[in-house]
Amino acid sequence: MDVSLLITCVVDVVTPDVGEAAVRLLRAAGCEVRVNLDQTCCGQPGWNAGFTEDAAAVAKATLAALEADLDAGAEAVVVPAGSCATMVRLFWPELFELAGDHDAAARARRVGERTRELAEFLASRADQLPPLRLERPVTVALHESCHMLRELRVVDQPRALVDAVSGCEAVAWSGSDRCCGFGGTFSVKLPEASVAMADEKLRALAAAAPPAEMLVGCDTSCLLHLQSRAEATGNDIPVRHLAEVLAAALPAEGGGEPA
Amino acid sequence: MREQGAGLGDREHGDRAGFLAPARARLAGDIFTNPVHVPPPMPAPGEPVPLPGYRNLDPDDLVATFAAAVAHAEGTCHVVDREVPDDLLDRLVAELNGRPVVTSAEDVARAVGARLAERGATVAEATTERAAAAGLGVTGAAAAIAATGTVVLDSRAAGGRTASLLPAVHLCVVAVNTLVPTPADVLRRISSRSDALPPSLVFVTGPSRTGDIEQLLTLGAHGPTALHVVVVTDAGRASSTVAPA
Amino acid sequence: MTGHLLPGTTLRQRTADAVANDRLRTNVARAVDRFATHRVEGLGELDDADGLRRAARAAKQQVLADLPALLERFADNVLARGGYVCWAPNAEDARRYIVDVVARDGATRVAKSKSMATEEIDLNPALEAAGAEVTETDLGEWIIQLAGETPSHIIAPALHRDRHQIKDLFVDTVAAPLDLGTEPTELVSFARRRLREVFLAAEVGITGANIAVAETGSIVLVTNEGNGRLVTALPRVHIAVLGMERLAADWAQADLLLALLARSATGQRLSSYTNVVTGTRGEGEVDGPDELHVVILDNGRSELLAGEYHEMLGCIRCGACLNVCPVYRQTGGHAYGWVYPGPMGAVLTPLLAADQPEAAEVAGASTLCGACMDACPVQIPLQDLLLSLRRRKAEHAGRTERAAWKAWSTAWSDPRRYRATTKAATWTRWATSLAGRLPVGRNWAHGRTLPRPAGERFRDRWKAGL
Repeated sequence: MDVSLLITCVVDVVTPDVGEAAVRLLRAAGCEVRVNLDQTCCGQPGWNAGFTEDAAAVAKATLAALEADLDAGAEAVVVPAGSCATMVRLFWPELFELAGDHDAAARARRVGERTRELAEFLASRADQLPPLRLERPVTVALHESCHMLRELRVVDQPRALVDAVSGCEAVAWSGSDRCCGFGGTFSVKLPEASVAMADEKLRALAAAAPPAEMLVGCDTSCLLHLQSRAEATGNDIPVRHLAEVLAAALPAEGGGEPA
Repeated sequence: MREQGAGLGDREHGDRAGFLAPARARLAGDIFTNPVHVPPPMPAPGEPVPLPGYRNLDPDDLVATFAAAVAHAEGTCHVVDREVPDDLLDRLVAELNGRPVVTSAEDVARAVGARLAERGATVAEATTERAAAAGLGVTGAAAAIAATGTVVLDSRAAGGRTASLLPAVHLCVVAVNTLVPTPADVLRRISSRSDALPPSLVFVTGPSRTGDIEQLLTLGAHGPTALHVVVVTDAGRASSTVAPA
Repeated sequence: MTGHLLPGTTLRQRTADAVANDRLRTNVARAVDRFATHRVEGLGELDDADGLRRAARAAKQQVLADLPALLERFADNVLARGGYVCWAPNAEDARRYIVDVVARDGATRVAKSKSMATEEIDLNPALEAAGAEVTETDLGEWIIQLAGETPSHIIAPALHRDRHQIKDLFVDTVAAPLDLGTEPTELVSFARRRLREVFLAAEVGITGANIAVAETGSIVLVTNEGNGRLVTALPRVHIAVLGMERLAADWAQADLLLALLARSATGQRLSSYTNVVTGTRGEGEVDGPDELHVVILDNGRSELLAGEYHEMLGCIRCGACLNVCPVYRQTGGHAYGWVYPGPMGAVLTPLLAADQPEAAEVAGASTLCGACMDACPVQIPLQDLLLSLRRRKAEHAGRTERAAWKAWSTAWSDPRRYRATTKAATWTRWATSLAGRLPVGRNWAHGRTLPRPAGERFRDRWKAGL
């Protein structure tokens, strides 16, 4: 199956390992991966802040890139981020309509219909994945990010994928589905509240029983926010994207340990 | 008491048409529909409003459902054949510590009042002053609702609003033939009633309560601290008492 | 009530103060967790609760589409039952009418049952200025009245105070004995005794209205304490303040809403007292008001009809959104700066308090996590409404903010400019030298480390051959 990868700007610039892991996983699931380097960003930061025209201008570049891949034979767009997948699938049509670009809105609907978040996509092709196994077992706490849960309704797939990894155990923790406090510009406009929300998550994480050795999620923004707060408070718990954990569990290359 | 029925014009203040004009103007055009979280289609005219279904309702045993629901709401339900049990009346009189009893004007309440008087309580029909001094108020009920454990009090029949409200204990006697399954069975029938609604119709579900102190349930805020509901089945059923857990 | 917080404070200041208050955060978390858990249990007892929510949303749509006719029907029915109707386009009209009614017969003692609408119109100071003694009778509202505060939560106004703080307040303000116990039963008993005197002496009772049923001109009051019944049983005059949108067309709709309201708020099947008030004291009745005044309030609501914020008028003020909001959990209600807290407050404040410049930013008190939408019994698309408000606010953005977003879109709307601005070397220099000095960077660094430069981008690896 031929798929196009929406890298997402955060993965591109800050956590390229996540992008690499996503590529390896998609290939392991029998996909040919295209990456159209004319993509930039899905436009969500501007959209959430209410700057529609700016967001539409940015999103349009990415729309063109993904569209080109679909026209060239890609059957799906895969996104290693719940919030970006939500932006493309749920909000792009409204974004372009509000910006007065009805043509782009129609094109966005077409692209959106073919767009899948990474865990959602991999879970749908679970039978095509090779057996997943971690050399060194690890207990993980899954952070269930907001857009995944409540907009995309991708609820069970991340956990199902973790459960499919031999040596990886997901632990229950309270408030796993509570917002981490990032919220885009919220994190810098109301930093005290944002940090308080991160602290709430980190406290719950510390109280997980059995204890979690690693924090895992499907949205890099959430993870960066939690990790940077954890570090600032002397908490060095490893934080990884789900893609990194799964990729480390792939056979042969990599040796089977999350980096 | 102020004379009622004075000309309608006297009792309407402000400018009705002027007040409603902005709303009318805005509603004259299209109504915005949210494009992402799209609302359901507007119901067709005459389309019935869906009836809530209650998982705790056993339609074949309304009395058991009701008794459990009363207990769930921190009330105490007694199911009896004929009349309020002697031991309950003995206990209520003992707890009065000399305070008087008020009853509504309903026959069933007066009858209970007479039995309380036999036990030495001071019993009178409710007025505000008497209810404020009383330790127990006795009323009947216009209806009872099984799924929620609710007794429905009609201000006309219940002898005032205060008999069931001011004393610390409220004893309510319910005839089983007034017990209906759900709130809809009372509320939705209002439309087809021939007589107008009473000035006050109160749906009482358990005693008065507050969670304002640390969200801890405390009974007896401004209304009764205890509610005893006696369901009279008149059908030879064994008596039972279902109390709050 | 001492008036609203909004003037002279910023959202950031208020949230910062709130999250620094550990006691407040503990109290808030405890309260909302309890409510949220009970809500799930309560709704779980309904067959197809989500289907009922959908139906409730549709019912509210129906009501709003027909609102003027329904209001007329409601008012005519109130009048036919001997009540008074006051059409109040704004807060001042409502206050003036109510003060007139209270002062007209020289009444000085007013007992209030909880009403958000009366807080919204700042009623108490107006009554007090006219010489009336106003006592809030809902225990939580009485507590905050004594403390000179505004409500922290719409169902539990004083949840920011624990038992010790409440006891101290009673001692300081109403001469409670020093040895008054701090057990909830003792505190409630004390309040019961004190407020019982208020109920018995009050000449005027003022309430809100949870639902107004057009079909019969009835006002439905949903309470637990009994104060809503007492203030409509004992005083000679009952004044109900009703937001114009709070209607149900008929009893079928009211039944549906009542099935959802208490369960969504506290998890109860029905509140202790659901009081249906229709007209005044009946012939032969020993109690009940001689006069019923219904004040129908616009105060910015009609502006919302048919437009982007139309669905906000479906709110039934249950508080479910507050109980699941991760932001509210950390800040409590005062941070929102006005009468309505949490997600509903983040939407209503910029809309109903639009005359105050500080109101617009309250729509930023959200991470758009969507938990509120999942909890709302009438499925109000709160997230979409917040986004709309942010767009509206952005239209008036200052030069710096506008320039920043423009710089972003100029750079990132073009693949080459995107590549240039994100080149690893550029990113490294930016991260180490500029980030810490820009406000954005300083605000991020408030309690968090800065993300480390990755050294290369994903696209660089891809080009090099992945």
